[in-house]
Amino acid sequence: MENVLLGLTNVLNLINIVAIFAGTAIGLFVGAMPGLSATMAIALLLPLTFGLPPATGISMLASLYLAAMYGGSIAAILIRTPGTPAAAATVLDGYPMAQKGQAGKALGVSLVASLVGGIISSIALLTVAPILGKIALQFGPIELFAVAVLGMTIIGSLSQGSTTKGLLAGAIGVMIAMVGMDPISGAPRFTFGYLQLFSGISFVVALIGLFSIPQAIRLIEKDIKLQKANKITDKMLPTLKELKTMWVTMIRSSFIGIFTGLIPGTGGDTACWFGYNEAKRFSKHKEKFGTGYPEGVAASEAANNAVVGGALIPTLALGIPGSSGTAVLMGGLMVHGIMPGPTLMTEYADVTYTLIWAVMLANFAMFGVGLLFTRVSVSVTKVPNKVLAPIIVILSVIGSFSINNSVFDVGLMFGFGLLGYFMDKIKMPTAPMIVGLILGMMLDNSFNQSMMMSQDDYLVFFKNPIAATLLAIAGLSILQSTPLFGFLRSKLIRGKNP
Amino acid sequence: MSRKRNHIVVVLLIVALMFTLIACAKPTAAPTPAPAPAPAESNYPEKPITNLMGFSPGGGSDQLAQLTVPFLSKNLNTTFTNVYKPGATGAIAWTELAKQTKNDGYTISVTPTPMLMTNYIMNPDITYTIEELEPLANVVTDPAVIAVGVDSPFKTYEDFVNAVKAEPGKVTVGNSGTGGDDFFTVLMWEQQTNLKVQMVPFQGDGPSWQAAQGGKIDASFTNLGITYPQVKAGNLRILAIFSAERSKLLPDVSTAKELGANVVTGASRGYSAPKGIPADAKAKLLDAFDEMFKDPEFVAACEKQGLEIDAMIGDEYGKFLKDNEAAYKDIWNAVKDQYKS
Amino acid sequence: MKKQLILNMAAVFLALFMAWLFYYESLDLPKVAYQLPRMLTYLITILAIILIIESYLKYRKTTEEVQEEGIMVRRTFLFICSIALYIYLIDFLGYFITTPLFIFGSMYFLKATKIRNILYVTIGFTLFVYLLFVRFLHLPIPLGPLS
Repeated sequence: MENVLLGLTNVLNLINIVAIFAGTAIGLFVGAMPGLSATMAIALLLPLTFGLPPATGISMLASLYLAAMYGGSIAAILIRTPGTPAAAATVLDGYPMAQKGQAGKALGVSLVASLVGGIISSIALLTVAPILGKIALQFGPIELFAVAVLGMTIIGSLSQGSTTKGLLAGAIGVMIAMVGMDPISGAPRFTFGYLQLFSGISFVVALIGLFSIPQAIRLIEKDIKLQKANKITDKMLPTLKELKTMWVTMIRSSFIGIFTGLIPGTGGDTACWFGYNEAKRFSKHKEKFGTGYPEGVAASEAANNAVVGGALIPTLALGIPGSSGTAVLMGGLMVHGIMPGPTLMTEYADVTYTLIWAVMLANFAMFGVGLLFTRVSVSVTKVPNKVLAPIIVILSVIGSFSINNSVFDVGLMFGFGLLGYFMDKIKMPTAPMIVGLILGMMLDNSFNQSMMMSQDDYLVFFKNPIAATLLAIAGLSILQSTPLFGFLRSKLIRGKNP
Repeated sequence: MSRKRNHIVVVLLIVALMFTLIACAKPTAAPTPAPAPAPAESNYPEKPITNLMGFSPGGGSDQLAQLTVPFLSKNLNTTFTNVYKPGATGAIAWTELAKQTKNDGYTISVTPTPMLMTNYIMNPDITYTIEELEPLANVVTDPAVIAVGVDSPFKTYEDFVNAVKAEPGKVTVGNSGTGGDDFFTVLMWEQQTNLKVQMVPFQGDGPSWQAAQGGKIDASFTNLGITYPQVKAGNLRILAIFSAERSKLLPDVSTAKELGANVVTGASRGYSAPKGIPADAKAKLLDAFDEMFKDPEFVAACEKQGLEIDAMIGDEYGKFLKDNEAAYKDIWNAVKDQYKS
Repeated sequence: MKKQLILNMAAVFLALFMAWLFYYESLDLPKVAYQLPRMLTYLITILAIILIIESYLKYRKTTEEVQEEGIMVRRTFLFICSIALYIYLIDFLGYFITTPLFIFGSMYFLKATKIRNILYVTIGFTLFVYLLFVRFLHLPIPLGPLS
């Protein structure tokens, strides 16, 4: 308790507050730029924090990480290109909202949801981190396999319109995820001799291609004036009445985000889909999802910001990074001479609790800076389509290049862009493919590991309580969607016997 | 039209704001290099040196770079730029280093052992070899260890060996990934002791020791520096260490050699340049490393991060790489058929 | 709907081609590595067959041709080609020659806005990328003859 208060007094120091605001501003910008990731920004800014006291430097980087999660939704909503992988699910409802002339509202909902998710997860971090941290250790290959299977069921619910096309897209996504060195045997799979494919196709490269290139082409293919400069009269912040309809979703997504963050190996990119899917499952208006429904934006944005606190829990309580972003943060602690590990909350309590309070404070900084930043960025919707299209292209090119500093990846991104455009033309949804891409590797790897650990006993998944529970939920999700299958079958039979 | 221009102005303003922020942040940290006093023989280095990294920020190579670069830039009186080209476990960067980079001494790369060699030993698609590189210096070696969770029934190395003997091929042992250093440590240990375990590859050291700590697997072959904080906190127990002598960090833990398994190995990290860099550049680089190893500040920094300095400069490092190459080739040739089926 | 049918068939063809290409590539792989990919090949094949049947039935039922109007095929095609050319040339001419050419060229071709504004955007964005990525982040962006 003493440490908690000490942390609070430490953080309310002018230099720390300035650092938090600076981190937030950079995070918003980095998040909004497709291809620039929080992980990369943290790594590049790390040396610049050497001159600062450890708590200040790390607080700045943590607020950057948090703000980037919201920043990702800005590009997702305005130009249909997620700025970070964690904002991929935000596109589904965010962009249609912008098309209806509600860009400001979409960003406002996203900002409020991010704030709620961030605060709930910061509270969890401050109060119950040591207890929750233990959960992270409960997730080994067997449990991770069940998580991956559960994630795969999202594909079904994302396949509105044509279930077959959705499933097909999902299967192709998993297949593409298989490219690269097989982690079990070390054999290169489907690399066609290209060294650049040995580590697999970078998920962000595929994401940028699938979303942004088709969007750029769509903007110029017709001369019709798409949603001409609808004067931004809509209020940014949602009204209390609107909030009332969304608060359950936001809180649910926040908890989903915390737990997804806790599990090593899953982060914001997974959490946004889980949050979105559960919001849809429990909603009375399932059909509105995907058409520009604010709740959809809130669901994925609350989840991805809650990941930050969630991922920091095992990092600070046990020295186990919960995501790639926190792994780099941990590296940052090391450079400052603090050995990350279970002693962080005791031996280095002053730094650790300052950091936790900084994350809390960063939420409010994000809200304030976000409001300003967003007000300006909404003007993107007034840029003529034909100007916007080439700009999207060059941003995608530099973004996909900067991930691995590879021109090969730029070509790959364009390939995915063509695929995305084609899929759009045949009305095949891209969202299931993205879920397949995220979880494909985890599915394959954790399955093989589980088999090795259990001497090829398939029942191992049902003997494990966590895995069995998760698989049961997955089974339930599949059952829920069977009316769809039934409907499909009846249609087929009717077609055969007219 | 003027409205449109206004928006462009606004966008430019944001950009300007970003750069002001960045510019504000920069001078506080990056030390401005003092004007170089002209050395006698040559002017190397006259410009910043590129440090080509084969891995993403945040990993072990990055840790080494962040640790050494401040000292190296002080000793060489220049700045370093870290350029990350991750992919194919470093092979993309090292292929570039060996085949494309100008050998002018202005590009060096962090080269970890055994990854540098096992890459091309295991994959015919990877074509560079250490013959095409100029080894500069090894900096640290993190000895391999056998770690178990604190609740594990294995209290000692003997417990572990007896369990493996009782059920050959059933005891599950994690490693940091097929082809990684820990994977080969297990293979070497199996060869030496004539025992057989069930290997489970993970994606990195973290997941491997975490699975051991959570009791998901029976033991993990990993590295000391990575697990030391957990050992200190009483979450992991080290059964044996694969170093030549006992570690200062854990003086009570016996070496594998003492326990009858003659395996000395670990993960080493050093620096290499392309083959044939100018002699004066090479000499200056080697001197810079030598000076760094003698710097008490550097020694203290390593100790703080739990890293064990394993200084080998120039030809000594070259020989170390060659010896390792031969050893790993033998091991891989002995087992590779199991991995092709 | 005839066009939709053709496009669906193209999708089926593409999916099957990919799946079986991957299957062929998996022949040399060890068992742990080919298990899931082969299962996916079978799954994709089954789904593709279902899609063929599904779209055939849909096509039979609807008779009227729904024309998707307004797509400027030539312009769209040329725009896609210009992106491809732009990316292809980065390796040879360097990023900072191809990028302004692409921005200016494509915006001029699309008649996006006044020439003066196009020039502003071209210079502004190139400068922005240069300052952020080269000057500040030190990324090894291919410079081509400019290096």
